[in-house]
Amino acid sequence: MKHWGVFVMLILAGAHLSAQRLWLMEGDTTLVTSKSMIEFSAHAGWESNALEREMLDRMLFGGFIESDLIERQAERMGARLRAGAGYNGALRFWFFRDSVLHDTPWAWQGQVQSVSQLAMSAPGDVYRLIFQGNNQPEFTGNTAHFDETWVDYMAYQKFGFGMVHKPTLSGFTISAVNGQSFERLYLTSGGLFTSADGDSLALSATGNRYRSETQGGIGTGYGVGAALDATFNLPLKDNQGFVTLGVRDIGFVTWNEGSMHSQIDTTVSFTGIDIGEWFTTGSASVPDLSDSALTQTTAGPQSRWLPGFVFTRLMHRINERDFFDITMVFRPVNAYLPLFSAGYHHQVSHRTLLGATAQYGGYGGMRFGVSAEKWFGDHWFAEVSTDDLFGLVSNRGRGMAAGVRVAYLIQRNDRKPQ
Amino acid sequence: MRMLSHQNLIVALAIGVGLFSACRRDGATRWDVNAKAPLLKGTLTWSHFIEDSLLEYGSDGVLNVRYSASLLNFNLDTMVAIPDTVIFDRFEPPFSGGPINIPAGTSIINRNDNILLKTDGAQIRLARIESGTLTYRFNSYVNGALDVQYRLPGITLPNGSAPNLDISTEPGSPSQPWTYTNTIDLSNVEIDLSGVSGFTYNRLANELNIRTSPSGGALPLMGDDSVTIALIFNDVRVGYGKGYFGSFNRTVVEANELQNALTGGVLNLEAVSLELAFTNRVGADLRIEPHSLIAHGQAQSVPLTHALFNQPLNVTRATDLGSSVSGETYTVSVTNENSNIVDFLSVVPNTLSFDTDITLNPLGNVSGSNDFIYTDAPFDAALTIELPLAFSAAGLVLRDTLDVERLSEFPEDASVVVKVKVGNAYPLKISNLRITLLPVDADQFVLADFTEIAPGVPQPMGPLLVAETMNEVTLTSDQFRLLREGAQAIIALSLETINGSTVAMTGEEFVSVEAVIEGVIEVSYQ
Repeated sequence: MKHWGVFVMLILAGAHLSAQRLWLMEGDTTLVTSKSMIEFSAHAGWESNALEREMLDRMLFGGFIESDLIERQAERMGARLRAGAGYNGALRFWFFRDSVLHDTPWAWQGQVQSVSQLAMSAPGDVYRLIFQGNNQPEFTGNTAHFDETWVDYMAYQKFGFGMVHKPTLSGFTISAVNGQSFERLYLTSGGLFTSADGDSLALSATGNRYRSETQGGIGTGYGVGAALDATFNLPLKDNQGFVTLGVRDIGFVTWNEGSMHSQIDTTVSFTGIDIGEWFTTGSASVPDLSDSALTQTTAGPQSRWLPGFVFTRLMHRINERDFFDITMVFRPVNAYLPLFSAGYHHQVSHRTLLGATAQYGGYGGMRFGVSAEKWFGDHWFAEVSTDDLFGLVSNRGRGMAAGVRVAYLIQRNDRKPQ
Repeated sequence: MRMLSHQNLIVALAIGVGLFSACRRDGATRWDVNAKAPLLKGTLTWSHFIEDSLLEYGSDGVLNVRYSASLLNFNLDTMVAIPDTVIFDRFEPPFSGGPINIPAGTSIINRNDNILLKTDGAQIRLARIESGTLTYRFNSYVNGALDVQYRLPGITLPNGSAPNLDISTEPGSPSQPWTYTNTIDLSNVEIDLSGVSGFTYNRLANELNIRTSPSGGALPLMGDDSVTIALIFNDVRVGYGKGYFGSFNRTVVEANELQNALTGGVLNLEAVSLELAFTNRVGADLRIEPHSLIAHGQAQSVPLTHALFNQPLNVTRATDLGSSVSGETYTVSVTNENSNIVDFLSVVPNTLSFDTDITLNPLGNVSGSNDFIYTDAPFDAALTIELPLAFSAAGLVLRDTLDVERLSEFPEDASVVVKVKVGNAYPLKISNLRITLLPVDADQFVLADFTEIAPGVPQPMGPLLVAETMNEVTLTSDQFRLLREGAQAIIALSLETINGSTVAMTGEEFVSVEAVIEGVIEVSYQ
């Protein structure tokens, strides 16, 4: 039941970069000659280079994590564990009937969007230490390193307005941003040393933790900022396709004065309860190492970049009914490898598009996805897609992703879609 | 294809939200980790079993234990105590019938006499009070104003004056007397109890003069009119008393537990000395007649044999230095030569019992009633043992009980192995080292049990080479869970010399203990 719950949640959640494929490649003028359009889209997913869906199930929903699952993931992740998760839900408006400054190819567009993005990257030692313990051959007489461990989370809402070029659907939106929540933990260096005999432990950590003073959920505001979303669709000769260049969430949030910054700089060692002191005082206890972990916490406003990204895409016809696309996505995050995606798409009719994609990169590895886009009647358009088909059906998948888009076209009185 | 309506979209969203909200956690997320961590580390020296203040180095480099204890603390302060007392007196005119008009300013009653204070047999002439109160209550049943002059010349306040108890009364009646009450703080007050004559004891002089008010007219006085005076001594604590404390004999038997980490076993001591000091800080002669001093060990009891027992010892009176006292001490030295002191202490006593007779003023009132006592300086009998730690031992047990707290920091479930390494730098064999854990509300269990740990190996130069032994103990999940609740640990070391030979301790000896805990621990979070 819980898996189906997650599945349905994902299906109801999202849509990603597949947008506009049918609209652009069909070359249908119905869309832009319409009065206006309203669209709900959402996409949710997570992926990792090592963590399997079964692991995430246990972490989220409880249960015992078998050691062979832990070991399998440890072997797969290599030197670093990378993972990311995100949710993006948007309500967009296009006012095609209007013109901008009497320039009829341009129209107004707007959006309300909620975004949350989580990313983490850590040395494999961190995973092994947490899930396998320090009594491992590679850790005894050695140090489990925490260097370059970071976790980054941000949630925000955008309220934007912009322009769209009707013939190519190129356009941009400038948004005001409401910062809901953020947290960033970054350990520049650190480690846990376990002596060969286990008679001493030494823990060190240097880094920073930043966080907002968030206490409420979606809609609560703890910072303000601005963001730019833009898409430039360049048509190829002879209607053979498009080259697209786009940016999303290029902007910042200035978090309010209640935001916290904790500087972490700690070195503690433990060689056991001091038996001499125990005899002297008659009482002994295990020291609480966390007592000295965080130091120098200060409050004050902070400006943080939004977790934006840049993408480029080539869509090119193979024949009248088929085309392919090649997409590259870049996020300036070291957990995120450049994402390469290749897709093959077949138009079952001029109102229906089916596609299959293969991706490599991002927070994970190789993934395969499918998508379907279709017009229903005079007004409705729907799209469902997943970037990770295997993750949806198998516990061994290293991610899950799904998206949905539903659009409602408000026609001029005298026009109907073909 | 049928068109998706607005209603259908809303229904689909509602179903999705419902399904997602059904994703409840199936209990805690749990997994096993294989962990290793230090548990205990450190060294135990003599100072961990015997207080530092008791240890000292002898000129021969041998560590000495100098142990002092009080055998007897005989306080005579009850002799000079002034119990809570109410002294009540009624005064009536020297006629009956009436009324007789007494002119204004005429003296009716004029008395100068003593108030007797009860004591516990002592004849006190002077007392200095540390604390307490004296409440003065005056009732007049006379229907007219009186002038009352009341003096207690024996009481000297801290400022050197006598308390002022003079009052002018208002008219009273037999059914509703006029009442006056005043309370005097007796802290640091001196009370002369030698009476009006200055030669008696336990008596407080008082002077009373009552006359009719000079400012009014004649007072019609009835023969049954009266005034009453009550003096109430409350919570009086005497700091110093002087007089004659009487002559009496008491038998005192006291048992004293020794604070001693050495329990059990037998010590074969080479040399030891003991000093008994009887100190008299009371200004009265004392005669002591000790009957016995017995050492009670775990297995047996040994009485000390010495010529002092059953012989009277006269300890002369202390000297009063004005605000302090210089005591007189009678010292008895007990050695190998004049006693069985080695046998006495070889039982490793945990209790000493002392039985003695004490006679106060055995020759009577030879001081002319000038006995004195500072109640915070009693008579005592102290014992000091000088014990060079050169001995042979069999089953000598060093033992301590310690608390272990906050093991709740440990995970809830684990099956672990505790690896304990013990190093011995004593020139004695550790015949047994046992760490017993006493969890809260559960049976005790043995955490570590070592036997036959060899003595440290002597080196031509420098300290003994440590002899190390390793042992492993498996703690079950149940035992581990019990420990999280907190526990006490009893650590007992049983020491034994090789072949009964004598060894001398230099203070460099130690036992090192190192414990590492490792095993599979279940980690969980909700």
